Amino acid sequence: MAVRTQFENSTDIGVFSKLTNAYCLTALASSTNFYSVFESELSDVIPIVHTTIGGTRIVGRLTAGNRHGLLVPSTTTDQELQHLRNSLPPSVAIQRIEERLSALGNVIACNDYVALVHPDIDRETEEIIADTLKVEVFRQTVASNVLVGSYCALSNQGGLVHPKTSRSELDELSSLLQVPLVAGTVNRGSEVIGAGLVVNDWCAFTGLDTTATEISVIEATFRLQGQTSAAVINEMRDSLIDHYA
Amino acid sequence: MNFYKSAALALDHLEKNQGSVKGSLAAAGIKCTPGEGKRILALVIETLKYKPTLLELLTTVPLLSLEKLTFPKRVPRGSPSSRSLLLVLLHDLLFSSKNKIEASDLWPPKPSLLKHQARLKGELVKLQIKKGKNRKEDLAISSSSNDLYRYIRYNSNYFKSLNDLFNELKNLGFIKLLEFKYPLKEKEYFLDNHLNDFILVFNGNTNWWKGNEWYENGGIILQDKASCMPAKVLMYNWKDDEGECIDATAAPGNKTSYVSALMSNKGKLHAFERSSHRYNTLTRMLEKAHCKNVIAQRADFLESNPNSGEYKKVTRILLDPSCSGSGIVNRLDYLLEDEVEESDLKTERLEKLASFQLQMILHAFKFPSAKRIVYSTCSIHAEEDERVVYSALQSKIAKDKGWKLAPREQVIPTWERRGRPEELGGDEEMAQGIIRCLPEDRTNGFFVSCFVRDDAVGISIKTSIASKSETVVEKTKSKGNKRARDEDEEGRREAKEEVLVTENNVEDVKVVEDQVKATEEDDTAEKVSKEKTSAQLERNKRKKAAQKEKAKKRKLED
Repeated sequence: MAVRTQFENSTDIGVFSKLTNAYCLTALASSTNFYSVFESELSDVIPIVHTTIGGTRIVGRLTAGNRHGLLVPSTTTDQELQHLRNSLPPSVAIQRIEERLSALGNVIACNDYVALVHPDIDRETEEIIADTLKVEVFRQTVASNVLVGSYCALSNQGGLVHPKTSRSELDELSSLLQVPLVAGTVNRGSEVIGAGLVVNDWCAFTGLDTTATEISVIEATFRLQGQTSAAVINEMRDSLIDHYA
Repeated sequence: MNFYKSAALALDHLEKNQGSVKGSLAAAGIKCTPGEGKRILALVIETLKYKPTLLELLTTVPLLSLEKLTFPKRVPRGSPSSRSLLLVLLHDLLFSSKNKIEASDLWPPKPSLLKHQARLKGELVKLQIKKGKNRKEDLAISSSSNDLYRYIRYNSNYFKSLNDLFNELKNLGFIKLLEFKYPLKEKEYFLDNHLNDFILVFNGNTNWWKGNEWYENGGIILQDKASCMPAKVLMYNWKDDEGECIDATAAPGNKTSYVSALMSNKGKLHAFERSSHRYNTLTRMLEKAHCKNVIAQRADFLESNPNSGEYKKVTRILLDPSCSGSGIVNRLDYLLEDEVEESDLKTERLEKLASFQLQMILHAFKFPSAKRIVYSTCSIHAEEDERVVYSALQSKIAKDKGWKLAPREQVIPTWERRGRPEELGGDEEMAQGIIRCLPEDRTNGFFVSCFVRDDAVGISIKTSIASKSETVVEKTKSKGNKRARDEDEEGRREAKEEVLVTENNVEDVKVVEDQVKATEEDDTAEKVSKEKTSAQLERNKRKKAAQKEKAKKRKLED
């Protein structure tokens, strides 16, 4: 299911939240509307953490993470770090990174297996990403943009990338990520995918401006539709039977 | 870590000098135990396979500039260049089965390389995608189609019959095909269509003979099809009471044992070999092949006396003298980039070899009762092939004694690729009497010609051309031969030691199975390694001399 929401009249929800398969971060807001939308979808499944990073509310753009870990920039205060440690499951490793490009959410795009990173990222950062998030790291650009985190949204099921990504680049990226990729938009034509959309393996949240067509593309790409257990079994039957035959 | 340094040194050596991969360790002056040698060689070979990939990786991840301190541009004498060291280390990190560098963490190159591990692995995957390969192993350079077939010769000197061999193969699950067909499947084989009484053709990937008693006891011999042809041609219409035979350049002895088998292990076969080391190989091989009728002697064929009583009954002579080996498809050569040999150096070398080859033929012509002489080379150059034959036929002794070229009917008529008439004064008939093999024929490059005497069907040269060029031949003989022989001798003596080590290595490497298929058995391979090393030495000498001169000049300028 893809859910439309907004953060205090802003449709760039990816800026104010971070969603992974193991946890969700949301920014502190004056009302709990934003938090409640996440809570209604995710409560009892994964922890949802109210937090700031370095005193700012743009948690989605400053952090990067997946099921295995969370990377926070050097501006993160000790208090915030402690709060995150207390709130996240123990299996999630948290690591503060001394990186010049401190908006980690903009320079890192990752799922549970692969991370695309800004080509100019530090070698040490690259190592930490590989170790903490347990991913293969690729220095990449998306449609000639170095801010890979801003221009794509990834899950283990699929990925949505900048609408001007060329065919050959799509092929290259999808063979790197080993998931199907679609070039598209969110928020009524916005190309900043990372800002308009947060997604994990079973649900997605998009900005309130997202059109029905965009939603249907997102649901198809990330396989969020009709994923009832019967559908899953139908889909897997071929491979299961093939495998055990 | 010494291990990596040695491998890098060998790589350096291969880059600077031409030479065989197997010989590189010895040539680079690396001292190691046989076990180590095996490992180092395996690493060198594997690194060479992935060299283009690794170099491409080094352009995207410029480790040489990123880690200037551990991989400096200039290295002290005796230590390997940073680039080669990086290549071997990268290979172990990215492509080896353990995916790690087997050295102490305190050795500076290791940590400085591991720092970049994440990026290197990422870039490797990207490269793999760019090249469209499913597995990273597919990035290796693979050898051409030549490894698709493996020829095995049944040795009739062995006490078991050919049918026993068929049964053995049946037990191993092989299927015998009645008709020849290419390509072969893994478990199929058939009797060769040209040499159908001895040669079995297998898929190149099989190695059932490893550890099999047939191979261990000399019941079968791994030998290229082409190198079986001279013996077959020589023994055309052989009758047991005809006389004796000579193999003028016998080592390593695979052709000799084939001739011996064709003589049904009866009568007498004189085998000559000049070099003592190769002579040892020869006796070892002959013993393994159960040859009882061979009299091996460590002697130079050219110095034998044709008129001595010992050789009175010799009717057939096999000549397979040293050649450039241009026809040999070395199983590892594909790993090295082709360097274009300087053409005048090459022609000079070919000239020398050709005059030596001619001398061998002319000497063989002198044997009083010889009736049939087969001259073969593993070269594809006309200078060593047709032209030598042509000048031999033009010589005075050939005419006096009535030597002619055997017609096609006697020289495996079913083989399609015959001699080049344009190199034989345009004589199509003569060209038909000659066999050539090229890698396209699924063999090594090879050349076989056969001289006969007292035979009505023999083909002689049209006289008009002959008289003119005879003087030329005589001239080259008197001038070229002496010098060529001397130099050949010298080069060989120097190369001998090297070859010794090389061949030891060859033995070891056999265990490094797949990369290094045992070429040792191939009759021709050894001869060429010798030739190559001697040629290499010569070239090196020249290079060194040039360098010295340069250094002198520089000194003067200073």
